[in-house]
Amino acid sequence: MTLIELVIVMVITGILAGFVGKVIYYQINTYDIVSRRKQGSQNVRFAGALMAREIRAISSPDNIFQAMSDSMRFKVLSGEEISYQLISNNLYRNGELLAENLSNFSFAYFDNEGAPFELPIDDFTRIQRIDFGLETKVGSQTSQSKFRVLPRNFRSL
Amino acid sequence: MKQAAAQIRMIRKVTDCSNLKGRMNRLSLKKTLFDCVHKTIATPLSRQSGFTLIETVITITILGILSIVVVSNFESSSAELQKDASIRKIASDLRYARDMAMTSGTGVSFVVDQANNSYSILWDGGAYMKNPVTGSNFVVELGKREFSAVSITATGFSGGILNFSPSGLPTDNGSGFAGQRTLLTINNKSTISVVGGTGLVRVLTN
Repeated sequence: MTLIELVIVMVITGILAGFVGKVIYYQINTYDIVSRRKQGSQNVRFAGALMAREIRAISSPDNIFQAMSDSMRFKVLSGEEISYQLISNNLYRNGELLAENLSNFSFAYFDNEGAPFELPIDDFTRIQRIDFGLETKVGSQTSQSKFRVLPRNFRSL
Repeated sequence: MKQAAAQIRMIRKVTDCSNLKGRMNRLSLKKTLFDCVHKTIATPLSRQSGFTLIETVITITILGILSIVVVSNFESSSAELQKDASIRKIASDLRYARDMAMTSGTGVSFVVDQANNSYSILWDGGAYMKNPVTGSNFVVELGKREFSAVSITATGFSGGILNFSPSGLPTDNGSGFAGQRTLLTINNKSTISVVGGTGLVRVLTN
């Protein structure tokens, strides 16, 4: 065996090892992205479902105290006062962290004809429908959940 | 002396070559001899190309060291990956318990048994929840099979029991709590925590 033959063998082995390493790296990376995406979507789905349930339980239009694109405060039938607020990509419920690393979040408010309100809203009693969406981003992929809530205790105008 | 020996060897070669003359005429003999001698001078008699033993041993040793480094790195990365996957699975099961409480409108308990290095999920009332994958009782034993790289080293709730109310919010001994509390510490390094008032599950690795 000559030196050149040995060098060629080592180079070919190195190239093959590089390919195999790349395949393993991509597999691990894919697992990591899928796992984090699942984790993000689980949290977002739960946060959205919790918010929808509580907004649906607002006792009356008079019990909406704040209605902005990034925050909302109201009172539910049980008498509990609840607030949601987005601060630096994190969503808080009554000051406790509910969802983190959101790439997008906003509330939208609609009247009985389905027309959106301009913010800030002067008269909260005219609100009939509340939409909100939560979006998380993992790598280049986003996971989005949208909710449309008609509070059950609001009398249709 | 060396030169003399080389000359003798060359002459012998020339002699051997001159045996070919029977097949040649007189005019071409001179040229044939020239070619034969030239070829004999150009080709070393005793040298052969290749590696020495030392070169081969050094090469094999370097390759061996590189292989050991690569294999040991791969093994440690693989163990880390397995541990990471196990922790994510535990956190995912905790989220499952929370989601089931909210969607079913029934209280759910996530019970950590540090002594037996296991955890289980129970419905309010004590019946085991069924594992949606295996169909058997939702009891997970750590330190075995895919969970061989993890063990519970601490719990942060009384009796290791975290309850989720029918609305999916966490409680400790029936009452809510403020802030973030650690439910599990894994291998004295990683923690799985729950945020009171929201039920957000967080994994932190030191």
